[in-house]
Amino acid sequence: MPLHSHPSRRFRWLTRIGFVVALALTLFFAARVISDAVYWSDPRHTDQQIEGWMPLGYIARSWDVPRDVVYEAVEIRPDERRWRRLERVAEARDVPVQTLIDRIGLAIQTFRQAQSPDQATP
Amino acid sequence: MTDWFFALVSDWGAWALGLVTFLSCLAIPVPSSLMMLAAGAFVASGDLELAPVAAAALAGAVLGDQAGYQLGRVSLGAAEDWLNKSPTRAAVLSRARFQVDARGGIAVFFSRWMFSVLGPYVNLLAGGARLNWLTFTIMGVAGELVWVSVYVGLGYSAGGQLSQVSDLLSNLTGLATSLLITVVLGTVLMRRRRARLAGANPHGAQKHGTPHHGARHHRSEPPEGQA
Repeated sequence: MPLHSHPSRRFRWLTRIGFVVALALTLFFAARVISDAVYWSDPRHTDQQIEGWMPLGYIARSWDVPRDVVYEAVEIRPDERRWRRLERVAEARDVPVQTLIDRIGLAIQTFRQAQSPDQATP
Repeated sequence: MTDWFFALVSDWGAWALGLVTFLSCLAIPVPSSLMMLAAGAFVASGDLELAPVAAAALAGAVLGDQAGYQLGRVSLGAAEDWLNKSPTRAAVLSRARFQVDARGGIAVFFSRWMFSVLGPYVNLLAGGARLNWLTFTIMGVAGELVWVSVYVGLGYSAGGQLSQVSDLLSNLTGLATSLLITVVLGTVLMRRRRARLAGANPHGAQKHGTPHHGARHHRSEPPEGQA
C-alpha cells in the first residue's frame, strides 16, 4: 500500500480504510440488532431474573403478575412505602436479598399455577 | 454496572435523573439515556411518577446546555484576540461563525437526540461561535424534549424488559453512529472519484466506461489532489 508516498494519497487511503471499518461496524451492529430482536420475540426469553436493583412494581411487571403478588411475597404492609427496590426492602427486613428473591419466585410460581396449571414455569 | 445505575434511579428518582442529564450535557460520561430508560420503565410499573421524572430530566438537560453554551462563549472569547491576530485565523473564525449562523440551529436540534454523543461539543461550539442565544435555546429545548420523550417513552413501553431494551438501544446507537460515519466517508470517496473522473484523467475515464476521451476538454474545475 502506498501509504508513504504523498499526503493526499495517504489521506485517501485513510478515508478508504475508515470507510471499510465503519461499514463493517454498521453491519456488525445491524446483525446484533436483528439477532436480539429474534431472540426476544420468543416469549420464553422475556422473563427477567429478579435482582436487587428492581423496584417491586417492576418485578411484577417483568413477570406479568399483579403487583400484590410481589407485595404479599415480601410482606409489605399497607402503610409501608411500596416503590422501593428489592435490596432496600431486604435491608429493612434484615434478610439477604436472595431470601426475598426465592419468596417472590415461589409466589409467582404459585400464582401462575393457579392461573393455568399446565403452563407454570419455575 | 448497568444495574447500579438502575438502582440509582430507583433510589433517587427524579433527582438522579436531573443531575445526570445536566452532567451529560457537559460531556461528563454518565449513562443518562440508560437512566431515562429505567425511569420510563419504573413509571410504567407504578414505582415512579411521570411528571417529576420528565420535568427533572428536561430541566437538567436544558440547564446543562446553557452551562455548556456559556462555557464555550467565555473560553472562546478569551482566545478570540489571539485568533484575530493573524488574518488566516481571523478568516477561519469568521467562516465558522457564518456556518454556525446558517446551520447552527439544525445542528443543535439533532445533536440533542439523534447524535447525542455530539451534543456537549455542539454546546461549546455554539457558545464559542456566538450562535444567537435565542436560536440556541429554542432549538435546544425542542431537541431535549424529543430526547427525553423518546427515552422515557421507550423505557415506558419496554415494560419488564429493561435490560433487553437497553442492550437494543446501545446497539441501535452504535448502528446510527457507524452508519453516519459510513455515509460521510462514502460521500467523500464518491465526490473525489467523480472529481477525478471529471478531471484530466483519461485512465480513470476509460476504466469506468466513459466512452469519449474528450470529456476533459469540457471540465471547468482543476483536478483535485493531483498537485
